[in-house]
Amino acid sequence: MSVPLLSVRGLSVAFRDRRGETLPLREVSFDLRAGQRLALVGESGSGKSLTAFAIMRLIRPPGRIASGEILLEGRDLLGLSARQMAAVRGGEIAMIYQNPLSAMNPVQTIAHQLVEAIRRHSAVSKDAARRRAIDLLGEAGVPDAASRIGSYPHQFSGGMLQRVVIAMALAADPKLLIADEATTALDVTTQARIVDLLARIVDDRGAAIMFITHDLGVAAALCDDVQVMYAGRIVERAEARRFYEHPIHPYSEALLEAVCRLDAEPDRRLTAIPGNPPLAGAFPSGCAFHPRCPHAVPICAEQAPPRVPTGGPGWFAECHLGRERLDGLTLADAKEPLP
Amino acid sequence: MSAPTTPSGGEAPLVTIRDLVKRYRQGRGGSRAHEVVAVDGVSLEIRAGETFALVGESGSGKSTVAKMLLRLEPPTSGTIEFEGRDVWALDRAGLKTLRRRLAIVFQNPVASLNRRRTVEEIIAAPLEIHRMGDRGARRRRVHELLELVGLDTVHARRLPSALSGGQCQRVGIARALALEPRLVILDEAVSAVDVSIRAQILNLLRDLQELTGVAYLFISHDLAVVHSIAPRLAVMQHGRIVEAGTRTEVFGRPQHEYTRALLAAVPEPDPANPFPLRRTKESA
Repeated sequence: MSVPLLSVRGLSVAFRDRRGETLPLREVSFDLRAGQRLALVGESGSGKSLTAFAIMRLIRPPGRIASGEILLEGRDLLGLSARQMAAVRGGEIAMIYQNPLSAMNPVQTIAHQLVEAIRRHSAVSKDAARRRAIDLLGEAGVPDAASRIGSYPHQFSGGMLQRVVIAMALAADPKLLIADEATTALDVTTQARIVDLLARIVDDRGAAIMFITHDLGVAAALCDDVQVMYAGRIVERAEARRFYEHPIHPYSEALLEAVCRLDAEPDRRLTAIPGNPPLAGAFPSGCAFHPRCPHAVPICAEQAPPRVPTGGPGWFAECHLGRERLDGLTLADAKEPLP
Repeated sequence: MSAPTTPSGGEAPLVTIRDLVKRYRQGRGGSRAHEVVAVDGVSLEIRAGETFALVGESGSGKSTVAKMLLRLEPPTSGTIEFEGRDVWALDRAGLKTLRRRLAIVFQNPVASLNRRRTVEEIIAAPLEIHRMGDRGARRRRVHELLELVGLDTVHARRLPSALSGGQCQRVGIARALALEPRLVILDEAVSAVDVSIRAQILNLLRDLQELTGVAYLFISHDLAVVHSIAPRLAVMQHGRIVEAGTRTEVFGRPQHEYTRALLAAVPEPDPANPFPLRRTKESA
């Protein structure tokens, strides 16, 4: 086995407030292979954005990385100097945020900002950088890039500006793109086009993407692996097709059932998850999902659940009933084999 | 283009909008070239007790229609009738009635609540403004409303900051229902809510409609949610209704190119076929 592109080991993030220290991210471990498209799915407060910020070392006081390792091709990012880390950001790892306007400087032209981003990571002339900027805008689907490059951010629509931000993220040819709800604020038709664009870009460049979203539909459209977060833990990881057809963790199952689908019977009651997602500092004992789980048994409230392997490379579910639920699935498969 | 969606049956509609137009003038000068047409000849009807959806993307004009119905923005031309009366020609008493019978729930559940007021004060505010009952009666009504939207009476003394997003949206719904309105405008009311909570809120809205007979104007860009909750809908683009009809008609046999584009862009949670309604270029 080759070294994974990204390997997160036992990552915890702590925040200090008046009442003491809380752990919104608790011992998170996962791998990402080169070229892999991983969805990080969860509700607000589950820790998915915090995971991304920790990888980029952008956690600011009163927060801090309390423990763990973040290995990029075997090199621990937590051991780098601030200067080395600045070269990684926007270099080997680039991030795309939800609001493209906040990622741009409003008083400088697109050309200025793209040229700056390109020259920060490679020693090329301004002219060469400008030519490369036009190429990147074209690759990101900005029409008429050569004439629009002199425009200011406010002269673009939200969808077009997100393409500019994607072009900027590609400036240093990153190995990993982290997209944090990058299509959430866009209109539905624009969202579909940006999802297509991201899929094409990571395919063409062989880059990996960590796609953070609360939308299981968008995750299905883009990603080949799905990782679900709940209360600061990864509770399930599996290859996408398996995940959507046979989720093992009861939370994953409940999330999928709660989604409105166009092919569903209208006017019926939806299968809702009772209660609310827990807040950091008030995570329930044992398995944090147990108060909302329809399958919970006494041990779920008492002990942290084991990480049960679920049949593929890196696949697992953190659930006391994981093995039973997996066995049930295998039995069902034996009776009625999947095509 | 904007065919009115006329409900069948003889009862007079709750809301009748005819040829509604809203133009905004941009900048100074007053030249026609700088006018933006936000709403361009919209006609529609909403029946008592029904859920009617207005679908569209940002800038389509759907929220501007709601603002004119709420009397927050005057129309450039056209009429809006609520219970048979032109809302922009109401006298003082008529206006007071309108404010009681028409309510709105906003997109951002936390921002739409006053963060310095307790849940009880927030829900009681419309009752106080309309001088409904004495203090004790208002408190009883607040507790009744809390129960109706699935909150506990212990929540009454809390500030919005002590509640989750889903709980805040329930408070917003309780406030909207306080004066027993006949129509509640839900402007992207479940768009900012977590997936697991969205299903709870949609179920709650359905239950409340069954219980109180309230009608909803459901404004949303999310076609899957609209499909689940609204038997009739209109699709807006660039200020116009480009298609309107029943759920079966619009979802089953979309006529307008834009409706088809919207449907094709809805991602379904199925990696084998994430865009089931997208027609691939290869097959065309």
